[in-house]
Amino acid sequence: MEKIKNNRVVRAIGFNRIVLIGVIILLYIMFSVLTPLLHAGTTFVSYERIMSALNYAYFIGFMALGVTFVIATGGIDFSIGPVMFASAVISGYCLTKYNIPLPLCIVISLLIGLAFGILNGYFVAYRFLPSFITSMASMQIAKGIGSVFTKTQTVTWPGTGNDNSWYRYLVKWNNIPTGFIILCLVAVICAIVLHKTRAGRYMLCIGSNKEAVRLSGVNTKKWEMLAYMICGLLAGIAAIFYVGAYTTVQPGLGDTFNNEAIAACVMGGTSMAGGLASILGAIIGAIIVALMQEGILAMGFTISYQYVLTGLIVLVAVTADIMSRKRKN
Amino acid sequence: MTAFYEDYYAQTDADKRKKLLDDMDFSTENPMEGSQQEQPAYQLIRTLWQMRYVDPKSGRRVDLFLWEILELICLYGNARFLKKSTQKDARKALKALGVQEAEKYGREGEEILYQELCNAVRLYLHTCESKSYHKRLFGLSEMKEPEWQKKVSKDIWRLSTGVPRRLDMTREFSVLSKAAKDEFCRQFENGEALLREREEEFTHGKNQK
Repeated sequence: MEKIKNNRVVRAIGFNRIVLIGVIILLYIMFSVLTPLLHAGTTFVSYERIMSALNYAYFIGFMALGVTFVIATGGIDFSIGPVMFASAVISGYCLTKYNIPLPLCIVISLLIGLAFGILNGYFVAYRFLPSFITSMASMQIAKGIGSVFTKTQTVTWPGTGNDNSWYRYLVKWNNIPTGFIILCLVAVICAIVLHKTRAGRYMLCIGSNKEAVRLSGVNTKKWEMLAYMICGLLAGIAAIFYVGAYTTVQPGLGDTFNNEAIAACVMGGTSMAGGLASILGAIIGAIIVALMQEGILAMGFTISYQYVLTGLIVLVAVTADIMSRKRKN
Repeated sequence: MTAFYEDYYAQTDADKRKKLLDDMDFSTENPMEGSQQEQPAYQLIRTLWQMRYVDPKSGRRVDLFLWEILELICLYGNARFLKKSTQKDARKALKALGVQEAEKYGREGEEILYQELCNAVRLYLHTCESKSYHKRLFGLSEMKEPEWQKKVSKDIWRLSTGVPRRLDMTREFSVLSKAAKDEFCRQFENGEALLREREEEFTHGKNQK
C-alpha cells in the first residue's frame, strides 16, 4: 500500500481522489449487477440512467462547490438546500404567476441565493455568531419565505415544448449533458478562485489560522463573508439546474440536500476543520452521491431508503475524515 | 550580542520594535556585535522592518512576513498540481520575506534575516494558541493538546521541509527552513520529535494533502 501511495502518479493525483474514482466504478458495477436481481425487468446499464444520475449530480455538485468555500474558512452552511428550494420556488412563482421574463427569473434565483449568502456571512463574520446556528436559522427562514411567497403552492416551471423552456437546455441539449459541461466549467472557475487568487488564499488561510490572517493585516470579515456569498450564489445556480432537470419544486423542502452536498464535499477531501479544500473532490463526491441515489431508485427502493442512505453517507464521510486525521496524528 | 539585539528580536509588537529601532543610537554601536558603527547591518534591519510592517500599496500597518508564512503553508497543497506557477508564487513570497534583500549583505545579512524570520515564526506560533486555531468539525468542537501540537508541527513541517522539497527549492528556502525549525524547537520541548513524526508520515505516504 505504501508503495502505491508513494508512486509519483498517485502522489500527483492524490490517493484520496483515486480511491473515490474507484468507488464510482465499484458502485456502478454493484448497481449494474444488483438492479436486475432485485428489481426484475430493470437495468442499470443505460444512457438514461447515466443522464438521470447526472441530473442529480448537477445541483448537488453546485451546492457542494459552494459549501466547499464555506468549509474552507472553517465554517458550515446548513441552509444551502432550503435556499436552493426557496430560490427555485420564488423565481418559478414570479415566472408562472407574474409572467416575469425567464432571464429575469434566473437572475432573481441567483439574487435570492446571494441574499442568503450575505445574511449568513454577515452574522458569522461581522456578528461572530457560530456558522452552525446562523445557517440553521437561515434554513428555517428560507423554508418559511418559500412557503409564504407561494402560499405553500407547488411551483412547476415550464416543461419542454413551452416558449419559456429554453432554460432546460442548460441541463441537456440534444442528448448532450450540457449541465455536466457547465458544472465542470464552474468547477474550474472555483478552483482558480480558491487556489490561484488572493481571495481564495485568504479564505483557505482563514480556515487554517484566522488569528494569523487577522494579525497580518487582512480584513478577515470581508473574505469570510465572501465565502458565504459564493455559497449562496451557487445555491441560486443549483436551483436553476434543479428545475432544469425536474421542473417541479415544493416550498418548505430541501434540507435533505444539505447533507448530500456536505457529504460530497467532505468525501472529496475538504477538511472539516477548514484550511484545506478540494474542488475536484467535491465534484467526484457529488457524482458518488448521485450514483447512489440513482442506484437505490433503480433497485426499486422508495425515497425513504434514500434518506437512510443520505444519513449513512454523512456518517461514513465524517467518520472517515475523523479516522484519517486520528491515524495521521 | 547587544541588549538592543536581544530586545528587538524578542519583541513581536511592530510599534515597540519600531521604538527600539528609533531609540537605538546606531552611530556608535553595531546592533549585531556591539562594536563601532556598521551602517549596512542597521540599514538591513530598518529595511526588513519596513518590508514587514508597511503595506507598500496603502502604507497601512500590516505584518507581511506573517502573511507570507501563511501563504507558503497554503502553497503546499497547490505544489502538487501546479508546480511551476507555485514555484513562481513561492519566489514572490521569499522576495517579500526579504531573502533577496538580505543576500546583498552577505553572511551578516543572512544572520539578520534569520533572526527576523525566527521572530515572525514565533508570532505565528503565538497565533496558533488562539481559539480559532483549535477549532475542528466545522467549528463545533475544539482539539485537545496532542492534536493541536500535531497541527502546529504539520504547519511548520510544511513551511520548513514540505514546500521547499515539493518545489525543489531547498536552497532558496534554507534560511526560512532553519528559522522555522529552530524557533519551533525553541517553543516546543518535543519539537524535534514532532517534526520527525511529520517527516515519517510523509515518507509513509501520509501528510500528502
